Amino acid sequence: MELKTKAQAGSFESSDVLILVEPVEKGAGRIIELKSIVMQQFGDDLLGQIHANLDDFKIDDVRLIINDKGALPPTVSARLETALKRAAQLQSGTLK
Amino acid sequence: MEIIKETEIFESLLLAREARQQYKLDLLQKQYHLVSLQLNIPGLPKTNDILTAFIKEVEADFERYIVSLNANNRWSNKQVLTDAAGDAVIYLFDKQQLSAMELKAITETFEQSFVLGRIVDLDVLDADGQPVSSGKAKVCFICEHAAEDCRKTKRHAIVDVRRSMEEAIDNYLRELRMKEVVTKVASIALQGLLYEVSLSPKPGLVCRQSSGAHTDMDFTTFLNSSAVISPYFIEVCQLAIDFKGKDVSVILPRIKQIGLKMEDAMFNATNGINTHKGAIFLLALSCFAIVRVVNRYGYFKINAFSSVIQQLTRGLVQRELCSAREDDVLTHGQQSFMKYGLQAAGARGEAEQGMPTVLHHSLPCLNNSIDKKLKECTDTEVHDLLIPVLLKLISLNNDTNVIYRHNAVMLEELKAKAKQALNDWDNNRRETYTDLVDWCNDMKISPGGSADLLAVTVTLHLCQTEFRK
Repeated sequence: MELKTKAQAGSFESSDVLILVEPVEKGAGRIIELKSIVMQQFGDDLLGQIHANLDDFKIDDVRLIINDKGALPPTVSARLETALKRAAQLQSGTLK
Repeated sequence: MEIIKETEIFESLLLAREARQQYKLDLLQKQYHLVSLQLNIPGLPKTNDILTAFIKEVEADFERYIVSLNANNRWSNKQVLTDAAGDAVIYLFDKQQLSAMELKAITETFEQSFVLGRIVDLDVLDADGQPVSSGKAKVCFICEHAAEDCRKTKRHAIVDVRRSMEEAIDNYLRELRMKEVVTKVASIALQGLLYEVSLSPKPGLVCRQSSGAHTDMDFTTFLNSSAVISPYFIEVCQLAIDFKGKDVSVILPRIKQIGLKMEDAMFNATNGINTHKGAIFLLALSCFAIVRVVNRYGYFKINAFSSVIQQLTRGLVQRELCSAREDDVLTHGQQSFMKYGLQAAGARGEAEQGMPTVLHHSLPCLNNSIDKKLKECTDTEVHDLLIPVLLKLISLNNDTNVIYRHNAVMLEELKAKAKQALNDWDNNRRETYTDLVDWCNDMKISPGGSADLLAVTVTLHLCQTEFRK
């Protein structure tokens, strides 16, 4: 998947996550800023899941800013997928 | 099929949350801090009738809370939203008025003080669109761990958490409704008393301008008495809520104990004058029966009311009137009964039969002639509505007040005169009523039993309007 533009998905409602995607130069790697209300116990799990999802989409270079309000794994995956597809202009969505 | 449906709902939920967030951000205009009130219910659906009813109560409670802290704490705008993400109430506060931190502090203390605060989510978004967080973790609804911890580790099944929340909400709403019924019925009973005494002029009875046939009491005596009696209506109503048994006859002594307290309070307030003894008896029983019926059926069912009254008072005439001995210390009602028998069974007889005079005569009389809500009627309209009802009662009721102070012949004459006055009143000849008033005042005839039944009639009518099906 080729990321073309900045995009976001999600919200900061409880049990949701807000994910911002920004394309970066090839070779820059995955730059992930993660904030979560459950950082201490579940930060690593969350990060593991994000990496696995990025693997699935074959994305190696990206900047992600993630603000998690306690989203469960299915929500995280769904939000990430939408954010990436919006960045790849495969799916419409809002970005302000 | 089921799985596809779940996915669709999940998708619409995620979209609704995004849209809601955008909607909130659009409201801010750099000018307002935003407080959103939402429910934190796991599982689907995020909204249904019970959840909506619940959030409405929380909304009202929260608003009272904000204003109670400072009357100037007013929101500039409020919106109620319902979508796939659930119900939400959104408040906008001018940032000049309260800081985002102040708002966060207010919402937090509210969440902590509110009984089901763990289900309630009050979020603050500052004018720049940043969520204001306290960093404090919410406690799980089921156990004492952090809620997020339980969610992530799936300590409890979602269905279990949801069920226990729904049960708690159900109980909360039910208790709230019960409290409402108690206070409403108690105030309606007082209303019945006040409407009765305020009706003026009345034949022989105490009213606004006249003490009627009486020399030892006036309008003020009745106001004093009504005031001290009224708090006990709440007690009787609460008794009906608390009593879970099937056979209500066992609760009669408890009602009577409250009734006796009311009599004490009455005599204390009136310097020993009996203003309301009959009314206390009838209205205490009525309050109990009304609340029991409304609590059971969800609305006021007059026939069920009548049967509760019957069950409560079954055998009362036998026990208290037939078995009384002449050398006992007897009440006026008992003395009349001794002299005239069943015709003079009075308030006890009326109750034991399920209040037939009210059910079949005075209440239909009022219900048929009223074309709007009683509380919307002017003083004159109330007067014109209630005089015929009172006449109906006097024309039918074997009033032991009259029998005791006079005799059965006088009672029959009074009933006949009332019947005539009612007939003439209906044909726009009101002077017969005025003559009756004068006659009763002169002859010192006071149909106090009928006045009590008028108070009951008004009370039942108001309950029929208040607790409609």
